[in-house]
Amino acid sequence: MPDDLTRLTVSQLAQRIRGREVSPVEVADAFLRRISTVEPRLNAFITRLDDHARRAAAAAEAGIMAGEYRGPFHGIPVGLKDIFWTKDVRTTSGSVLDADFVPPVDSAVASRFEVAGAYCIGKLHMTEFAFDGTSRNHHYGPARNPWDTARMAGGSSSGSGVAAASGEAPIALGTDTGGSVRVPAALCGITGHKPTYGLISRYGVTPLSWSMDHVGPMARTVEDAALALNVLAGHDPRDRASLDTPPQDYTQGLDRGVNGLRVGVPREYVWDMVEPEVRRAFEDAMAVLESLGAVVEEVSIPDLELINPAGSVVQTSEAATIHRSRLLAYGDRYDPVIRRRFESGLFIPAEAYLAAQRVRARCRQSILDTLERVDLLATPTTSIAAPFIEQERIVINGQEVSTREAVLRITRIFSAAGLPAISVPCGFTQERLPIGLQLVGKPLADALVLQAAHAYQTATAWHTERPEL
Amino acid sequence: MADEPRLTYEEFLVLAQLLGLAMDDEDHLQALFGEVEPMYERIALLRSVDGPPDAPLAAPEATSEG
Repeated sequence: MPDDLTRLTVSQLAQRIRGREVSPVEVADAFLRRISTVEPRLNAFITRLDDHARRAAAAAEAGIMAGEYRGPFHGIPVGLKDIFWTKDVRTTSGSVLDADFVPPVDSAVASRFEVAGAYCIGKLHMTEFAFDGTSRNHHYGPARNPWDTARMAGGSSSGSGVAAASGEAPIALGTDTGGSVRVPAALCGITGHKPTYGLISRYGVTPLSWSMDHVGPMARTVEDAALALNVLAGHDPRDRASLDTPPQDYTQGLDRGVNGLRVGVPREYVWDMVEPEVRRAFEDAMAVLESLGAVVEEVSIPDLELINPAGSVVQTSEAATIHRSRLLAYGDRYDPVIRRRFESGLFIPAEAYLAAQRVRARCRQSILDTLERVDLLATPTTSIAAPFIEQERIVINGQEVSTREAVLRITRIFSAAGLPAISVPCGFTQERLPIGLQLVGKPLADALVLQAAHAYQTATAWHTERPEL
Repeated sequence: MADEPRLTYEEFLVLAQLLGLAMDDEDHLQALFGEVEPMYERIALLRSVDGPPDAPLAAPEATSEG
């Protein structure tokens, strides 16, 4: 019976904790047992925090018994990608270069979760310095997809996708610079929300690209992602990109449905490379939205294909700027593939970085112009379902591309544009691999994106499927 | 695609030295060149479509790197 707790959502766990049907200590024990059982096959964690979890759960239990219930995250274990600084707990950012780094402070999101009564159950696997969309890690081994452990979990928030999908944590946090929340969410069959740029503070997050880094929740349901956003969103002067927006309850409008909403499906670029099974699942998802009253239409976004080369130049240049001194001093300690990716950014002239920023801004405006005619955009999250871990190349519709490009090419558009975007499960391939649906909104339309995704989840059961482990 | 001269390996080596990269690992440098070449193709593409901030983009056939 206690192990069944690991199949519950945050919302369901919170209801039971609040009603004193289950104690936070029982919740912690259930998840720690689950981790012990499945972790040897998955490798979702870089650092487990079992003792900390037990102590924090006991403290939460004492607080709740004393009548000091703090809200839906009180007594809930949370998995944190190992890019989020945790005071007195090492934070590797997926690299041996930071294997002994013990931050002196908590990241803003770790602090916010703590204030809400949640605790960190462990630091989760990621690709080195978040600079890869696969789940490979030269130093810590690959994170494995719980639906098929020979397959990629996606990245860079690999462990976050695996932990939430496998029941090692009810919810996890990731970061997204080119798709690193949505890609592992799609490949692992969970919900991942990349909020509007600046909505969640990045203070205490090891940076990759300051103009493209986002923080986002990865959960089993849209409702849980909304609950997390309630805790995590908010102005933070320590992050210069942080938006000063009024507090909002992101769960409030979830049940409003999609009746009358206009959903645009981009005609260009996205469909150049999409696996037939992914396309079919996407088309079925559009039919579901139409059956719920949404108006689905094809839209044209001029020059959409240019935002990815622009985003790539910007991200690589910023990443190289951040890592330059370490690359020059300790280059041989990076994964050779990741090292080359970083070093290539050193060759980008300032003029090219600025040209990329201008092209990026104009492509973004083109997307925003389209979002004046429709309420949301819809695409598949990834072009393919999870490839094999060691697979470097894949053929889609007769075109051979790198697996990295195949998983990132659609999500990166909306990272570069800084728009709120969510991935929710929308089906499975014949090999029983999850497929993701991406919904995108205007800046700060996070509530509308969540509302539409929740309506889809209310009408479908894909998000309730669990991998057999 | 934009019509710009391609970066040669010899030019790349000069740049790498100027940037302070270690020059003693030929295999690494050759692999890095393989990463820099497509980056320069992307840059050439962006230069070909870049213009004044208000000008519409005129995109030639483009590919994307994820």
